[in-house]
Amino acid sequence: MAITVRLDVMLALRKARSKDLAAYVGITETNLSLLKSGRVKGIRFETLEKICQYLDCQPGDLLVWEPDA
Amino acid sequence: MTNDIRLAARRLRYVTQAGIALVIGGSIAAAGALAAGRADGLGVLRIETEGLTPWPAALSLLAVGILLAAALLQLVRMLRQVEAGASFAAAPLRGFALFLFLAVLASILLAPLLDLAFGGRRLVLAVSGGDALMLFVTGLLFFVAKLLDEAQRVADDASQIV
Repeated sequence: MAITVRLDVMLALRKARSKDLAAYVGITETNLSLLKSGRVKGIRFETLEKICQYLDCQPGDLLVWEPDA
Repeated sequence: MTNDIRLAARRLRYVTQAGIALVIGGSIAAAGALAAGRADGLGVLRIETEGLTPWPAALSLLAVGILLAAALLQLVRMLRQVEAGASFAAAPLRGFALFLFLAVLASILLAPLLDLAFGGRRLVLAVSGGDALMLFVTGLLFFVAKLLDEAQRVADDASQIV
């Protein structure tokens, strides 16, 4: 997929735990894991905002566009 | 999905499977009797051929029976999915509606067309009010099933947005 989710990188940089982030955002750990692996069709602005708040980052730090070819 | 619904789906599946056996067995027996020229000879049952010669009537009966059995098989597929925990199974419901519609259509068109193919001189179509109503209802069911299929696709998409 052209859009890559770099949530795991940001979590590592901030030394944050997935469990705590999931609790803060209000989604299940399963959904957060799916998001980290890019196996979702989309992300709500509300979810993105909370993740950015918690990790103190910009949406561009979490989502990266990589051309296929 | 509650256990009550799963139990109800299982019971309905057993009834439907018995219905499939009845439809197939009944169709074969009736078609066999018609082909042998014994439309009145099925015990207390009499097969209505509506003036058709035995072979076209038998083949038409068999084809309608097969389509009806195919529709019921789709229903069994849907009920199995409900038993397995699926809240809704749109594809089998659409298949059920389609085969039901085709069965009604075949019951109207096939016999006169086969009669013509077997040497009949003219095409006589007899469409009663009941036939027209059945066509309308099964056509509507197919359309509603397609709408539900689309709704399920949208719901699946929504469930993959976190």
